[in-house]
Parts: sequence; structure tokens; C-alpha cells
Amino acid sequence: MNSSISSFRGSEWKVLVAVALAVVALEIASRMMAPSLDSDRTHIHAFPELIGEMKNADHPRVLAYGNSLLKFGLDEDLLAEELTEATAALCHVTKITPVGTAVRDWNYLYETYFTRTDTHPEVVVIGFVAHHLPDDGELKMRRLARHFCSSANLWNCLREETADFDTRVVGALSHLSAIYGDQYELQWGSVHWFVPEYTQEVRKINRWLDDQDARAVRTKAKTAKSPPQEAPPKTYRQLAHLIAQFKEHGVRAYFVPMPQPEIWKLDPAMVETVNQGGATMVDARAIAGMTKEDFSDGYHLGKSGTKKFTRFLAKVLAAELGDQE
Amino acid sequence: MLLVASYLFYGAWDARFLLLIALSTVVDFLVAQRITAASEKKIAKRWCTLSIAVNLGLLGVFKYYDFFVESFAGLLSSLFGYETNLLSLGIVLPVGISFYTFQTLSYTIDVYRGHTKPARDLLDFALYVSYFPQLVAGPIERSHRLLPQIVEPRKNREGDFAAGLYLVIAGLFAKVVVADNMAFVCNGIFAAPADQIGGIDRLVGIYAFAFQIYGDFYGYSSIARGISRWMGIDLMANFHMPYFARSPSDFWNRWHISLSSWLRDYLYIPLGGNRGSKLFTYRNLMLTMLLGGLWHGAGWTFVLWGLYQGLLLCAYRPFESRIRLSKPSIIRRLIGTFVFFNLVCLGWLFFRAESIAQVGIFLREIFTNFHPTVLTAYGLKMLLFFAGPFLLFEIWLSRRNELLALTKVRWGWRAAAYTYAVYMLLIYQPLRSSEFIYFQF
Repeated sequence: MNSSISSFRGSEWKVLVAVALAVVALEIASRMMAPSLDSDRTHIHAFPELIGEMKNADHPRVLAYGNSLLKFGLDEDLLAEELTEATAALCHVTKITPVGTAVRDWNYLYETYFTRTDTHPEVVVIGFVAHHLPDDGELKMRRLARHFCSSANLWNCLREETADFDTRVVGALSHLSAIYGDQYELQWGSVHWFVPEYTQEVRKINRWLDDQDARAVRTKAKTAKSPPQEAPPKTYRQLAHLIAQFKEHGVRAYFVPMPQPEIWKLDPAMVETVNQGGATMVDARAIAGMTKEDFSDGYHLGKSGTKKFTRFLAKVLAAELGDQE
Repeated sequence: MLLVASYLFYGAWDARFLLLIALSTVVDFLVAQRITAASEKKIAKRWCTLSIAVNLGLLGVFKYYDFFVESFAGLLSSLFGYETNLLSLGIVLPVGISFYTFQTLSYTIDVYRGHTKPARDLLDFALYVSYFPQLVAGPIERSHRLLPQIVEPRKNREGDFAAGLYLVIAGLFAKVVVADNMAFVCNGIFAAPADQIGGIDRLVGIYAFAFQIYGDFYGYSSIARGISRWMGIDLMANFHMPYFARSPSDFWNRWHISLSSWLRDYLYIPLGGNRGSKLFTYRNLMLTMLLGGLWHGAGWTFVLWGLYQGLLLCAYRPFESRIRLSKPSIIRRLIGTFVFFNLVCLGWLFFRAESIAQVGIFLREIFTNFHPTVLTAYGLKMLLFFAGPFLLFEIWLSRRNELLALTKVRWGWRAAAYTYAVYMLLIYQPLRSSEFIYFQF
């Protein structure tokens, strides 16, 4: 290493300082731009404000908690209106629905934004489909560490959610740096100026590559000498933890399997976890009168579907709230 | 300490293969001692042959055994309908085996030829074989260059830090920004369903691969050189702006220089080189490039790539000296470079394709289906956005005729260039990460 010292004493330290300053400037700019990167980031940065409003709102306070299924599938104003009318109590509905999230994110998000501020709703409604609750869901470490973890639970998250050193480093860096944590969004935002076809073509290529990977897995399975092994049963450690959090803070939890164009199967192990935790399952998979036309894209509810689902939920919740009183 | 670091580095991937590298090291160390001690040339030759046999034997078993067994079984089946159950071992290819095997081979051959003295210390020699920055993907260093740098105490040299910094940043940029982003475009096009893309898309996919493989391999070599400079060790430059070549021999003087010079010195020249009839020279060129292709991977597409490179060398050979000595106008030079770049890209198709059938589909579509799609625009803009600045930088380097030219400009310019590189590295990491291509060789 001695050999390097002399040239470092030359002008290279100036180069390094200039680059370091530029990186700091970029980090500051990224933090300033973060809330406006996309609608999801805007929503995430509004959490403190939304939760603050909830804290000061009239009871009962209902938290609609989940992802894009509830974001597009639930009309919070309509729900508040219907509940207020049905229960004769002024209800407040808050929607925390960052897109593409699942049970792992919801766990850390709740700890960070609700438990740490000691703000809890009376009722939480979680909308989901089959892949949102098992433990084997995709780990989106950058966003999880950057937006849903606090310094208090970050280490626990890095330790519990991955055994991979690289992923832990990614998580730690994402938590510390907006450039790193929001890298994909910064990338997408800026490349678009130069390559307007970016989003559309990236999706297409991702689909082709996923198909290729799936074909490779099938071929490998076919040529493997040992018989194909059955997939291991799903586990629900994260779900149990989330329910325990709600229970600890006296929050009544309602898990709502969301409607889809085709009726989907509930995993009995998941149902058992919900029941054992003392939460309630509100089966909305097949709402009377709902058709395929009520979905906007084959997955999310459209305008008409949102109304039907919200009214269905309001009716169930009103009965539940009435019973509790 | 460097030796321990090197063994830890290699063992971190798979500790079992440390035995392999240790075996190769001990054999070649002892053989070199025996060659020097041999009283007769004949005995020295025997020892040298033993070293070649052991090294090529290891390479043959670990890299080529399964390929040849499966190819032979396939041949029997297609020619005679005879299904065989030949023993395919499913061996995992040890990372970097092709690189360190060639490095140790060159050592014993050089000792035999009297071009280098044998290492006195086994540990020094072990570090020469396993030196971690270049262990898994080169450059393939010669003993007369690297061994003295390992044996002698390292000196405090002016400019090492600056040069190392430049090489590491340039290497990271080439790998992460250029190669990995191009990999996404290229992999997508090679994975696309046949009816969803046109011939121009496929051409864009090949161009993307050209910059993927260049950025990937140049990036690794550059990082290895940069780290080495920080440790006072000077590794050879493995690339010299290869896409500005106008002929095959010019290209091979610029691309993977450590391999092409190895093939020249230890294969082409011993085969007779150009010291015979034209036909004899062509035979030597073809054999050298075929084996060069096979060195890259155990697969027929690599053999085809080697064959193609050999044919290119043969086809250009009558015009080589004219091309080398001529001083054409800028326009003619540009045309020559563009034409040869496309010929190189055609070779990359063989290199990248998953099968010979895929090569056929790509060629048919490129020459018959000229309809651009949205993917064409996307791919071309991605090439411009990620590879364009890199190419412009190389044009600047080429005009300065100095690979480390950036370390010689005023510090402000360098800081600006590094800031741009770091910005791109932070923001434009690829959507899917890719391993170094040459790790598999």
C-alpha cells in the first residue's frame, strides 16, 4: 500500500474530496426528490401525516391496511360514511396501502409508524390474496429497509429476513441512503427522459426472462434423476407476529381475502393462524353481484367493484362494531 | 499475506478446489526445478511434457470431459440411432481454471525454453499462480513479468494511487453501468419468443452483447489492474480499444491480449506459425483459433466462434499488411472500423447463442426481417445511453493514444469524470445483476 501514498499526496485527494462532495449533494437531492418520485413514494411520505390525523380523529378509527388491492378496491370516504350511518358514531377511516407490499412489510411498517408513535386504530382491515401472507413472499429489501424500518427494528429485520450477507448490506445501505434505497425509482424517473419506451419494454423483457427461467426450472425438473419433490407447506410466522402486534395494542384485526375474477383457495394453515391469533376472517372472495366487469385489469377492482366491495365491508364491519358495543 | 488472502478468496467460493490449485502449483514448481536441474535437453523435455500433461489433464477432466462424452453420445445417437449411457460426471467447473492453468503452463514452458528462471520459493510461486485480483478471469500473466514483482520488495511509485483509482472506477463503470445494463437488453432479446421480435431487434441484441462482453471482461481486468497498482504490482493491459480495430489481427492485438499473445507464443508459433506455405499458415491459424474458441467454453457454439475467427484471419490475411500500413482518410477509416465491428458482432452471435439452431434463426431473421419494433427504439437508445459515453471516452483515449490519459489531465476534469461515473454507478445499477461472463471459462 505504501506505493500508493505518494500519488495520493499529489492531487488525488482533491479528486476524492470533490467526488465525495458530489455524492453528498446527490444524496441531499435524492432526499428532497423522494416524496415526488412516484405516487407510491408520495403515499409513503404521507404516512406520518395520515397517522397524525388518525390519532386525533373520532372513534372508532378504522385502518385499511394492505397494498394496491385495497388502495384501488376500497373507497375510504364511502366506508366512513356507511359506517357512521350504520353505527351512529363518527367513524374515521385511514388508508395505508403502499403498493406491492405483503405481510413482511406490514409487520415492520406497523412497528415503525404505529407502535413507535403509540397510535393505534380500534379496527384494522387487511386486504390480501393468497401470496401476500405466507413467509416465502418476495423480499424487497431496499424499500423495506428504507421506508418501513426504523433504526430500532432495522437490525432485527436484517437478521430475521435474510441470511445473505449481500442482502443485509443492501438493507443497511438502503436505510442510510436515499440514493441507494430509492435507486430504482430514481433510475426509472431519469431514464424515461431519454428512453420513453423504457417502462413498457422493461416489463416485456422481464416477462421473457421470467418465462425463460421458468422453462429452465421445468427442464431441470424433467431431466433430474430424483422424482420431483413436493413444495414444502407454507408457513405463517410473519402473519402470527402481525396479529400478535394488533392484539397487544387492543386492535381488532379483520383479514379480508379480496375478490378476484376467479374464486381462489384459502390455505387452511393461514386460516388457522388467523383464528389462533384471535383475529377475524371476513371472506370477500365471492361477493354477491360481483362480476368480472367489476375488475379494472383482471386483478384490481374497478370503480363499480370498489363500491360493491366497500359496501360489503361496511355492512360486515357495522355488524361487528355493533356486536362489540 | 497476499498468498493467504488469495487462497481465502478462492476458497470462499469452494474450498475443495483449493486442492486443485495447490496441486497445479506444487507440480509446476517441482517440474520447473527438475527442468533446470536436468542434465540433458531430453530429460528437461520429459519434465515439461509431464507439466503440460498434468495441467491439460486437469483442464480436460474438469472442463471438457462432460462435453466430449455428451457430444460423443449425441453423435452415436444421431448417426446410428444408438443410445448410450456414457458416464457423464456432472463436474462443477472450477472458477478460473482456464486462466491459472494457462498461466502455470506458460511458466514451465518458459523455464524449459530458458526464457525465465525457476522460482526459488514455493510460496512466491504459489502467489504467482493464485494472485487474487487476476486469479479468476485474468489477465493471464507471464512469469517473467509477474514473478519478479512478487519476489522483489514493492516500490513506492509515483502515480500508482491515481492510476489504480482510475482503473478501478473505469472497471466498475464498464461492468456495472455498461455491461450489466446491456446484459438486460441482450438477454431479453435472446430469450424473446421468436414471433415477437424482428431482425433489427436481433441485431440490436447482438450489438448489446458486444458491449456487454466488452464491458464485462474489460471491467474485470481493469479492476484487477487497479487493485494491483495500489499494491505496487503492475498487471498487463488486457484490452486496447478493441472495437476500433479494422482487421482480425488488429482486433486480436487489442482484445484479450494476454490470451491472444499466449496462443501466439505457445500454440501458433510452435505449430510453425507463418514459416511455411500459405496453406500451412492458414492451417495454423485455423487450429489456433479453434482451440482458442474451445478454451472459452466446452460447447459447439464456442467451437463455431473459434472457426469463424480463424476464417476471418485467413480471409483478411492477404490484405493485412496493406491495412496495417495504409493511412486512409477518416471516412475510410470509419467505414473500415464499422465493417469490421459488424464482422466481430457476427462472431459474438456464435459466442452468445444458446444453440446452433438459435444462430440460424438469428441470421435468417437479420437478413430477411427488416421491420423495426418498439423494442428496436428502446434497445438503440439504451445502447446510446449506456455504451455511447463509454465509446466517446475511448475515442478520446484513442486520440490521445494513451490508456491512462485521464490520470494526466487537470484534477478538476478527472473529478468531473469520476463524479459522472459514480453517479451512473449509484443510480443506474442494472435491473438484474449478472455474473462476470469470463468466470465460467
